Amino acid sequence: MVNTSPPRYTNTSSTPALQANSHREQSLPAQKRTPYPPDTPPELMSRKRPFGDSVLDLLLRGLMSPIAQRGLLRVGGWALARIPIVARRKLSGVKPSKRSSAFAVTRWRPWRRRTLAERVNARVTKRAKRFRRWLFARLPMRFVSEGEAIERRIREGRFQRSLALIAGLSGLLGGLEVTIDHYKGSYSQRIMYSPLLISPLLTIAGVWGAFNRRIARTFLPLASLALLVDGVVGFIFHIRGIARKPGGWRLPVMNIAMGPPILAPLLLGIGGFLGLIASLLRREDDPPEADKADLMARRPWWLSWLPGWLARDEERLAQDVREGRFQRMLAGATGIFALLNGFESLYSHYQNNYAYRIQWTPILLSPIIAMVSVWAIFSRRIARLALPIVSLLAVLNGAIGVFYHARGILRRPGGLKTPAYNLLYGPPIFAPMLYAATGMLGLLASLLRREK
Amino acid sequence: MDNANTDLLPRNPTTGEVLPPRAQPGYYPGYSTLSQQRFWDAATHEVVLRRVHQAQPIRFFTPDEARLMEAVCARIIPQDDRDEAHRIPIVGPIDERLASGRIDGYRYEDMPPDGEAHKLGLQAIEAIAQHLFHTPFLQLGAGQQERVLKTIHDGEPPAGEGIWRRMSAPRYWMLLVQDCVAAYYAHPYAWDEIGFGGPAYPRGYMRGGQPEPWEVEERRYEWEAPEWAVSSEYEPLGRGHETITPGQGGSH
Amino acid sequence: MKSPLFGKFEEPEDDEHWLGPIQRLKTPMRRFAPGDEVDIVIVGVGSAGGVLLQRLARAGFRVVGIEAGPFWDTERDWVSDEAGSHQLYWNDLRITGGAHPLAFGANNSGRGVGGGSVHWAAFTPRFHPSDFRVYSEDGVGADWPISYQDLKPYYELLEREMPVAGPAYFPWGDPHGYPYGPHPLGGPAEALVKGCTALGIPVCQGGPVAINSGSHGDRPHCIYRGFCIQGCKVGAKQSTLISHVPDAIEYGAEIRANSMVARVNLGKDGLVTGVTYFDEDGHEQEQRAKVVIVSGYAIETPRLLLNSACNGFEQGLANSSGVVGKYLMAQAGNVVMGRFDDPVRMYKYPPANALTEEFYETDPRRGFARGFAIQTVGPLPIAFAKQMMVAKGAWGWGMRAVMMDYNHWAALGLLGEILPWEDNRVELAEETDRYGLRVAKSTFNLHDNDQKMIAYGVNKVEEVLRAAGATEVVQEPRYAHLIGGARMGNDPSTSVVDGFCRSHDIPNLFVCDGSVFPTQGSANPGLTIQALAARTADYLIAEREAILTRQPRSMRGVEAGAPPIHYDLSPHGTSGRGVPRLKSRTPTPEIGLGGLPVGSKG
Repeated sequence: MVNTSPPRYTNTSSTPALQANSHREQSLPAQKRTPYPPDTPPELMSRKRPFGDSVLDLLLRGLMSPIAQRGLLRVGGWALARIPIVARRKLSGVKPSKRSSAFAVTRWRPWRRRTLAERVNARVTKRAKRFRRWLFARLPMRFVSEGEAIERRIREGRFQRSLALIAGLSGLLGGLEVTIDHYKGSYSQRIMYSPLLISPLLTIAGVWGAFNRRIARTFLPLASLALLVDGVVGFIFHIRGIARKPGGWRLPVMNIAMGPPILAPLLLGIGGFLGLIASLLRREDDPPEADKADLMARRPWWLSWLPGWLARDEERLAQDVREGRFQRMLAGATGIFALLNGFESLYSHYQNNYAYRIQWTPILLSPIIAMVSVWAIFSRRIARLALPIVSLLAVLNGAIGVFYHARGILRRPGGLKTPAYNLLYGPPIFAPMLYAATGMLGLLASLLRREK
Repeated sequence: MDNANTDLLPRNPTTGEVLPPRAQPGYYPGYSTLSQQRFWDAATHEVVLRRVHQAQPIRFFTPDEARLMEAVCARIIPQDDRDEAHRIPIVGPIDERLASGRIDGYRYEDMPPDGEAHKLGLQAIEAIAQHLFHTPFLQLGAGQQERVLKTIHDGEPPAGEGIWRRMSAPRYWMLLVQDCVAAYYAHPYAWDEIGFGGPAYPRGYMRGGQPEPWEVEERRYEWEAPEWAVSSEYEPLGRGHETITPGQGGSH
Repeated sequence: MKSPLFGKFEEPEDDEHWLGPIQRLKTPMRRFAPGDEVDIVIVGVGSAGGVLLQRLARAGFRVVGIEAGPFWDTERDWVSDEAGSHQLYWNDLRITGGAHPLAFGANNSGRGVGGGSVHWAAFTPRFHPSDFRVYSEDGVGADWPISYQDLKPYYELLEREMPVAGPAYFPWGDPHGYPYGPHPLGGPAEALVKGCTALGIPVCQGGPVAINSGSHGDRPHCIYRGFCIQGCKVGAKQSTLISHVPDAIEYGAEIRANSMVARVNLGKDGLVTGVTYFDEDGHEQEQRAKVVIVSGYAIETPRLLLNSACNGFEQGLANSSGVVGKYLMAQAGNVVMGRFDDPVRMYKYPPANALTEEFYETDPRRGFARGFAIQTVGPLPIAFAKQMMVAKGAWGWGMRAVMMDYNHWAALGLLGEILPWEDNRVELAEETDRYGLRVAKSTFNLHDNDQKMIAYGVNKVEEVLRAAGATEVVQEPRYAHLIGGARMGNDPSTSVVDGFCRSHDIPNLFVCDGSVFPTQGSANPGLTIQALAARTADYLIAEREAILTRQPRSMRGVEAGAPPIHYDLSPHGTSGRGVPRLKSRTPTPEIGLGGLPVGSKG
């Protein structure tokens, strides 16, 4: 198992910060093949790491990943993924001057006078980079190198194991939430049990997939797909449920607030979405040689059933995801999930008459996140700068929400003396976690590379 | 506003100022159940709107009795703080119930039928007024009228023995007050006054103690009944009442 | 929004009969030819009558239900209004007397298909096992001829058919769980929970109530509007009108509404031959039947039996024991109200919302036998004003002032067990109703044990309200639920019917409703009435041959043991619903895992 050829990592590293550290690679001798990136300090590599990562590594990645989002998915809704592809295809055939600079793939024309926005952007970028250098100089070396290693792995799409775990976790959280919510609806129809059966499947698939490459590429996408389909089915049933309430859609405000939560099934799909992405990624411990040929060798069996143009799109998408080049797709997903989440908090907080002013924050923040996310589809700078900031705000907001919801549960009559009932009918404890997950998704998106 | 009228009006207890009659007394200014009538189902809409808009002709009471009954009901449920246009008819619904012979499904064995009880009660009230003040009830001041009624409330009417032998005073008092509150608090104006939601189908409720989007927050103001009012003090019903169960508007 | 989206709400078409906003009466009702003898005639299609009708029709009997009131169309006939719902109650004259006379009307008996279940608050606790052995355990009241175990499978069946919403674990009596999840809490329920938890009293939240906490077939989820006892237009609260009667009609039962039964007719052979009734137009008609079941509830059942007096039964039909009409009971239903600084708005949410049965059983330290439960009630303005008149002595300006605070008050109800006493009874008065039938006269007195229980119970409820933070607490005495008047027992000299609700005197006359209860517990009787009806139906089905061959004397007696339980007679759409829940500790072998009966087809 000795690999004598030197690791070829440099071909994928591009940011100045990483290049700045590249001198370490040269100082490393040819070594045993390890799961560690080449710039990992040797003292860290010497530790035993069952996951191929340090605990800190796992923790940070866990924090940075979405717990539950929903939206259109690769197969159920491959349209979302097609947006950047189609946009690129259309745009590349058009003269840049006919389009606004934000949307165009501009040619490099150094003699052109830069627009004000570009100048501001450049200035901000410069400052951000300076801040980053300043910060890194002060943080312990261990954190910096860990962080950079994580960042690189994300950029390169080498985080299948982590994302599979996270998808499993979001399946678990979503499953718990739907268990409680459907309990409120008394499981009066048998189909209400379906998300209860499927989300644990995703949890099993995610955890198993973190240890087993084969599972991550077979069982995980199937379980994810099942959850996504169930989300869409649930969405239809919830629309029907509202129609069957007294007054039906003639009383949209009352019946959306008091009927089955119309968007919740789509939100449950976030675990499925993450699982699908995870199934396409490279593993942390993949050898660097794994490349396109390898991908072609693992061409999914169902790809041949699709028409040629669609199959090509799929392959291209898969290749992009595999290389961590799906920033636009994920930014789009972040925007959609933020909107869904915002609408959910709008009507559920409305039910409480916005008794606390802080209940407005998720409602106000969501459109901002959505706007930034959509903008990030078209602008790399927005994706690198604004998206992480608003995403961080969303995570923070979710954390505050968890606190307030927990407090709300404790303040109910009976408090902790009747925990089960108060968890059932108190403020939904998992909902702000979902909101934070939207932020995590945005953070993840900001770290990725853009599609080719 | 003349003095006779201001005597009847509630006051602000701190400043002593008279509170002028308003369209909608109570702590929910601007709240209107009737404004929500498009959200009611057809059957409810018909029943409530008929109650609001159709004045029933007096059929059961004689004109004299009706006048006396008006005066009595005006003390059982005083409406002096309401302007003329927003007073709630009380004798009308009672008369309509008695004329159509609608009862609550029972009669105490020591009571005559409801209609007869009401007529006897009016005679007794008149007798008590004569006994206490040597004046017809209708010509008494509001405070004196209240004192007449209070004797029945206390279960110790000083006059009309013959009548009280035929029916129990405490039960008559309950019949009278129950009929009055049933008429008053069935009216949308009264619902607006106390902040009750009114009909709620097909649209139900989504908030517990909080007001619904179409309801309003409570805005309290200070008021107290006119000084002469003995009914503003809560006193337990007279003897015999501990054993009486009204059993109306079932709650189990 | 000033008006509903897309204009007006849907209204019933001319040929439609609505039972809630979605459910329609689909099949035209079967009509038996005049003069046709049917197998079974049921007098009164209420809680018990509705279940009996449905079970017997499904089992293939030719069955007719005769109901004094109308066959409600929930959309046309019911209103979402307190004063406008007067018609749901039994408003015909009854005379009431005694030292502590009962008030009838709104809260105790219904008129129209569905009967009292149309306007019950739908609290559905089961009786405790001890309720069936009151005399053996406490030396007061009477024992039932049946035990809790006899009724338990029917409790489980009915809880699924209604369906009952409540917690997955109900700790009192025989602990069990409910098929549907609990409801959210309204203001009074929050006060009860707050007060009880502060005092360390266990409390049951969000049930058990027969109100949908999830759509149940064509019956929607509750919309929390608080008009439960005005008739649930939503169709979320169970009444036999919407849960069992549609199924009965589908299986060929006939209901004759607006028809008042005048008497049960006795043949020369000592068997009843049918009933005489006044039809919709007031004409006297006769309906012959092989079996007659009287389900008229605690006042009308004794009245009908007494009015049916004839040669051989001069004291009243099936009254050789002289017990018909005696041992009338009502539950102590004192309403205790507390004023809170924060708005409560108790007109929202179902009045039946939370309860505690911690004080249900006899506790010798309290100095009285049996006990009470504490439940939520949610009086609407008129009821609240009447309560305030008694509780505070309010009238005039005082009434106006306290009513302006309506939204600050929360009301809790005591539900205490008043023991059966012989002097509490139903008789016939001299007066007659519009059909010329003598009306009922009740006499009711509280005895020492009852008064001690009420005093203790009211005190306890007041304590709970104070612990919840009420600044002012007042109480109004009243009664709830009528029980008794034709009690069941093993001894024909002290009871009217046997353990299968068959009269001791006449083998083809049954009485099945709340009037057969020998004691009443501190639980609302609705569930037990319906469960008992299902059991009676099973007995009749088991004795099908004897009934159809007109040999009722050959029907097996109580000593033959319980009839086989029919799990396949539930209305459509009963199985396959509901939450996973705890089974009670004492298993019955017939019930499979997960609460689903073995071989269930419903």
